Amino acid sequence: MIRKLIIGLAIVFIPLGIWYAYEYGRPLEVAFSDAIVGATTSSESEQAPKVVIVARVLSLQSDHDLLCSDTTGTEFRIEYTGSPNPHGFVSNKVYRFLGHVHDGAEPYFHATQWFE
Amino acid sequence: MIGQIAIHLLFGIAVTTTVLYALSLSSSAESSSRAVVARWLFRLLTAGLVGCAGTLITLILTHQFQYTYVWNYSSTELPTHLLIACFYSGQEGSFLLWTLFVAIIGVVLQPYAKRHGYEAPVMVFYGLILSFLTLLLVAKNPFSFYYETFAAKGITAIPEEIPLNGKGLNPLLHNAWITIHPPILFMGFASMSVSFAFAMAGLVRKEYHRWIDVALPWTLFATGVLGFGIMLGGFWAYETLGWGGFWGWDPVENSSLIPWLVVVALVHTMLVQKRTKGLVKTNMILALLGFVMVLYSTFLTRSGVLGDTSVHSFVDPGRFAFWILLLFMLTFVVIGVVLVLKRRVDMNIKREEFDVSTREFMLSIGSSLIMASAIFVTIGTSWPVIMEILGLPKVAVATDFYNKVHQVLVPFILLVNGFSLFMHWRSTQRQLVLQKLWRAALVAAIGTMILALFGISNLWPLALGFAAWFSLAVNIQVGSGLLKAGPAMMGAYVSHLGIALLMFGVITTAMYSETYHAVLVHGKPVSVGGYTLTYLGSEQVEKEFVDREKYRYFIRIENGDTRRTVAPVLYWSDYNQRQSPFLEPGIRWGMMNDLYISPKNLGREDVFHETIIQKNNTAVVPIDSSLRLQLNGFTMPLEEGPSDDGRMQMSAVLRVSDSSGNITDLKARTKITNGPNGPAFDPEWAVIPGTTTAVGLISIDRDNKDPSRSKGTFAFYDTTKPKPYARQEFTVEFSVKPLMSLVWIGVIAMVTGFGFSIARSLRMLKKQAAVRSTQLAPMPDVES
Repeated sequence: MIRKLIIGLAIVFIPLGIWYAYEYGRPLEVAFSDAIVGATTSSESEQAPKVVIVARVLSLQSDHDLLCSDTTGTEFRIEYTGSPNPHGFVSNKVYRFLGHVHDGAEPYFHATQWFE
Repeated sequence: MIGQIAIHLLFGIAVTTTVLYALSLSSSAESSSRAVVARWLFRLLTAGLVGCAGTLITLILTHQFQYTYVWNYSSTELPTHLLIACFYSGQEGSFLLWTLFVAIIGVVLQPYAKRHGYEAPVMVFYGLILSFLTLLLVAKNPFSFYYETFAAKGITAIPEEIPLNGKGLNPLLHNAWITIHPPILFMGFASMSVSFAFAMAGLVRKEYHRWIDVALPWTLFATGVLGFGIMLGGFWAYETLGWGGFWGWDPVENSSLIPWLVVVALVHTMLVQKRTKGLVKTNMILALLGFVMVLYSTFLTRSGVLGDTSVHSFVDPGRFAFWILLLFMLTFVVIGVVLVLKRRVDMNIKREEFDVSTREFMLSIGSSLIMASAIFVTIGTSWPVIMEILGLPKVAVATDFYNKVHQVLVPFILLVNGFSLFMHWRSTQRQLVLQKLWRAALVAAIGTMILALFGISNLWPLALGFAAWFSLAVNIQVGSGLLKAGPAMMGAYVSHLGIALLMFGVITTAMYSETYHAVLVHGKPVSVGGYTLTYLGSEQVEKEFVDREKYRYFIRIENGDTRRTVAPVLYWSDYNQRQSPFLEPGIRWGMMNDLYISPKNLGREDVFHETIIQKNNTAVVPIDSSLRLQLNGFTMPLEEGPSDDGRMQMSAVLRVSDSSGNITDLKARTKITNGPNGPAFDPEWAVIPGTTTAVGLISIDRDNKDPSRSKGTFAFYDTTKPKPYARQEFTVEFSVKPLMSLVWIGVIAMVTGFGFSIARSLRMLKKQAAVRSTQLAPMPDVES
């Protein structure tokens, strides 16, 4: 009985746990202004929540310092410190950046991953 | 060079020992010459590792910065206790510490296993573990010279040019806890190898029950030590890091929690097998899993796969070490799985069903729930890796995932713990259970009502509260009945009691903690949450460190006649290029509550009415709205020349216009001192002609990319009044954490309980051995 009980519970709850982790491990896709709101409303002791911003590269100082605009047209700076893009970032191309906002007088987005 | 050769030699010795023990498996007598040689080689290996560790400590203490490891993690300013801690502050040293502890435990294990007739099969697996660990040391050798390391990175360094000082230890690690927490944690990891080795030996020998008796004291030891190590880490975080909590579900914390949860489940299922001969395969699998999870956790936190998904930094160990870690883990998974599958039919002998109203049933359910916790924590911790494999954004799950899963699991675990203690082995009369149950249920109901009366209305804390009261009542009820039998009998009850107390601590601190933000001006009492806080001043400490100016900020906390002073710390260091401050909280410890002051910011009062103006922009003067100030630009230091005291000078070129349209030009000059925290500005106050308003330039924010966007910060005061004095302002987060002490008391009780249980288990083992020797009974299982 106990064997069947444990196996049955495992069959039900492990996929449920994975789904639950998926819900809590999925970064939201937001505009830069929403990311700032997320950063300012999180507790001081925590890093701002990780989010994805779909951004068009407007100009590049380097592959680590990009001026971008999000889907709402807001311009903002991205400091990219993740694995290098093997092809390099290209102006006027759209990328998805994962990272968090550094709040302050001049907020910027600190990205650690990028996706096409 | 000798150290590097020694590490390679030790790897060779570990492999030879393992091979010799494997060869002595086939011979009938373990005292064969191969086993004797293997035994001595193992001792030589341990002596060699002690020698390596001693050498590394000596190199650190004598500041031999020609060694990369010594240069990377230590410096001449460090006191002796921190220099010793540098030994395991980096990957190479921590691998050496882990290997050393495995070897030292092996020296104790060897005669123990021999005494119980398990030497060769246990030491084969143990030797294999040490072979992999010493191979890791070959890859992450702590005795590499710095010029070799630089050369590997394509940088030419001259061997004769030895660095004068090292990079130093991360300032976060500068406290007493680093001298105790990592060694205890690594001792826990190392001792996890023993249960695994015994389980595998049982499979090799086809002795599926006897290994349980022999391995139980070691499993209890591993559980107690690892649990203590984990909570010391929590205490360290609470006492030093200043974020106000003791557990953050960070991958590094989880990586030690997962094996601990598995081994806790194993202890309980081992007890079931000991009494009922059931759960044979479960125990084999859990013993394997416990050890594999140590390796998996090490892989997660040491291979660099988690990247930037943790507050801890993960150093990429290099490809060679990465593959060794992976191979290490996979080898033992394959060995364990193959052996379990090979013996699975054998292990099914005498399998019996457990009745619901038995202790074995309840313990099995309890262990399953603990394993469920381990599985969910593993899923959460591995999530970034899973996402990377799927090509999705690599993000750690939010801590709410762990909290919500455990909101469900923990109350059930505590309830099952209570029920299991009322049950008897094999069968229990339900009437008897009900008779005992009502008292504990009544205590739990009253306790929960008290929690509700104190304002808890959420379901989770009430359910957890009920379960914790229930577990507490049952453990006291049953445990007190065994008081006369001595403390050795009390182990389980004391441990469970500790867990219940720990849960109360979690509930009260989570539900009743109050947090306030306060800006404390020097010398001015501020009322916060029923307490009066006064910032009394600061004192520089640790002046010997040149990378920082570290200050303790004294804050008096008053409540009625009670006065206590705490001293939180806030400073910037060159270690992280002063990008973010290092914080240490000030805590007034108490049985009923902790008063926790976490520093946030340091500044000065805004008594000068400051305003920021961008170049070519205009702003209204804050203390005289009829005046508008336009910033036309800044003069360069060369134009201004040095000040009388030799400092660099710059001026803001200003144009002032009043409401009548009169325009006046003036310069606001400032003297600049470059310091470790950036430039400091000392303004020369310029009175705006025809007014009583003085203006001073108190900072310049230069935009190097676009100088036209540079800004100046200006301060103003009325010259008809005394010049204001800006006092220091200390911004803090002040928390009142009720019954936090229960968390630590609970942990101490839990570890103490494990100590009692180990003593009892060893005593029983001794008795069994005495009986065997008098009866000349055969050693193997009597199953057939």
